[in-house]
Amino acid sequence: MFSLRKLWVYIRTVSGDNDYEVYLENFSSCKKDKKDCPLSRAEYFKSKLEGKWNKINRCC
Amino acid sequence: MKNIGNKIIWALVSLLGAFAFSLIALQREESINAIWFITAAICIYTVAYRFYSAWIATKALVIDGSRQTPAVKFSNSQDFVPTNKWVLFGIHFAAIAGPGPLVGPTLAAQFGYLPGTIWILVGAVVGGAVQDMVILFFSVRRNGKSLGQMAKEELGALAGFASMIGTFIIMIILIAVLGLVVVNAMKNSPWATSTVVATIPIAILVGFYMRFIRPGRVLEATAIGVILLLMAVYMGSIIDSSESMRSYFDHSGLFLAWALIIYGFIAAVLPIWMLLAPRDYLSTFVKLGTIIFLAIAIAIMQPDIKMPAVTQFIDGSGPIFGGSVFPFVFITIACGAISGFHALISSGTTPKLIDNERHIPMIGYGGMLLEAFVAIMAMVAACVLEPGIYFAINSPAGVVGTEANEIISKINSWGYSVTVEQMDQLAKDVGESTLFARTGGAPSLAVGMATIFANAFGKHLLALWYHFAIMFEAVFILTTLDSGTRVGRFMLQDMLGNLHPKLGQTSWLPSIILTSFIVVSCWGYFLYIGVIDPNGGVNILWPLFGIANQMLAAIALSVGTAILIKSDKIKFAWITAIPLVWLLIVTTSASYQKIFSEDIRIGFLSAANSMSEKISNGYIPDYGIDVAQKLIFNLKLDAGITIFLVIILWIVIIDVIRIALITKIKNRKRKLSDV
Repeated sequence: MFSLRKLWVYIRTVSGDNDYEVYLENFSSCKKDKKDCPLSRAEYFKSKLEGKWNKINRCC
Repeated sequence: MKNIGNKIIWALVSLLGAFAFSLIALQREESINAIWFITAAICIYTVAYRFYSAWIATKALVIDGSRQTPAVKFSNSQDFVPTNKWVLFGIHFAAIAGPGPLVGPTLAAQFGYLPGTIWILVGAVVGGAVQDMVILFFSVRRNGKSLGQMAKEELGALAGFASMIGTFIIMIILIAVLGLVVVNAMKNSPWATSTVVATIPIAILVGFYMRFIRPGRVLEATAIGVILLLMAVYMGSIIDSSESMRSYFDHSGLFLAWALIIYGFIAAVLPIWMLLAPRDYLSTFVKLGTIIFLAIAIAIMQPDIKMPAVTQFIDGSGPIFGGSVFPFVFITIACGAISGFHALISSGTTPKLIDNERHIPMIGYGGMLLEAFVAIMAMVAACVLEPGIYFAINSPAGVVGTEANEIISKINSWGYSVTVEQMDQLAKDVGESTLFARTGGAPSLAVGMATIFANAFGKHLLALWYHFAIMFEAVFILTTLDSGTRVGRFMLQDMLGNLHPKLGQTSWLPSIILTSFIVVSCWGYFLYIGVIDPNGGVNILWPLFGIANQMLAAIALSVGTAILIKSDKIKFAWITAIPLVWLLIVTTSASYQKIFSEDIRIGFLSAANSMSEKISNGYIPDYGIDVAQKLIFNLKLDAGITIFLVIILWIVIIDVIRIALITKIKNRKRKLSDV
């Protein structure tokens, strides 16, 4: 059913607002094969942006 | 029981769609209501989605929900991330929907509402959405390979090269023509210029906020930015009414073009987080908000369409761009019906995010239908204007002259009533000194949108709505300009890396500066010529962009057709082959006319010759000779580019035919050996 809460989560996910939380969740779940600590919020955001914009990402 | 109920509902939706469509197509005597355009689009698109895309998915492509997608297989929380289908739909739509579907239909409205509307309705269902979905599917099955890689592997090295060079040309022409659209909206308009200028510091502020103050809080930062943008629109009116402030923002087209070129260079060199990324967040939100708002406003106000179904300009004598309805309506409306550019998104980011193959129809096919719906709304916004006003805003000085009385009598002579007083009053109402010769589509779209908004939500706010609409168009045109320059730069760095490895390093500053400079010079050149051209530049640049974009679509459909043929699905190859053949006819005949037509408003070469003759006969005053010579060079260059595009297109097509023949021979041999 429609709920404002779900809409809010949707907007956060589409816009990338909760990317970092998702990243942290994924990180803890695959900790075993990674030695480093997770990136800080600011570092993560920067690397995410660079990955996003080094290819064709917007159209006509 | 449920099954029968479903069938009845779908039958009703189909009937309603058919009824609305025939009303649009056949209504002649009375004016038709815009709500029928929306109804026809919604019904036709939902039926096409429910049946055609589902049929393609299950029968032709044979989508397999149990098969692992690249996102699942290579999940690495960077490029490959399994994503919720609604979230991915949002991301994909934001990526494909740019200013194209707003500008194209506005320009194509010179033929009347019918040709463009039919093309947006039919072209999207049979062409554009099929292309996006098929390419998405094939890219998913090939671990997210790009269109260029697929073209290279499936069709040959030349096709791979063609798609790369085609992409680069489209990028350059697209940026130039969009830059021209913004310049024409801002020239001698302090209000529009100051608002657009204000978007730059606002974006930088949002960038700093997201980077340092509250890292990664996209929504907070965007909300602050959107509020500031709205304030900037309002502040524009204060600047406009102050004599001393006005002068800072009152500039000619040429000045603004140079400013835009310098801005484009700086924006391409600055870090992404500072300007590009924050402005993209702002433009995406403003864009989605405005589109939803426009749909609501059309539904509430239900405006009548004032434009005739078909105008006399289908014969090719149109003031906005030369060329008859066939093939030029199909070139003018690229994005919104079929756009080759989408194939780059469908084979780039999106296939690496798909969680399950079953989501492909919704994202590939559905995403394109939503963009086509935006194009229908742009068409409505252009056609609710009085045709006289529409032509007065969009006709360049080279066609209708520069004096108000001259322009008005010219437009009246075409049979469209409009008066000088009417245009003056409208300009005053929207807070501009003049609306004559504001070519490029953005101002007339803004007047159309402002009229709809003002009638639905408050008439006294017309000027604010107009400048809001201009800001809305400018902000995401600037995003396209910035990201396009950057992508052009990466492509160039990739190529130059073969000559000297250091130049290929995307983070090496001298290489960044050199390649950004080259890319900006390329589009800056076309923008400059567009501004000094008395015919407005749009007449040349938009068809060139359309031809390039449709050529890329033809390459994408060729890849699709070749893969279908190779994978023993030749009986389904018509799915992509029909739009391919159509695009081939359209692109080739449009290119032929653009190169060889004797009409100087269509043919590049005859225009160049006629201008040379004028110079040698002394018809052009001394001060104009320099400009005329630049235009002659540009016309010849454009003819060269067009010839080049057509040649690569046909080479790719010959590749597809070759593959089809080889497959046929192989199959025959196999059959013989079976016996």
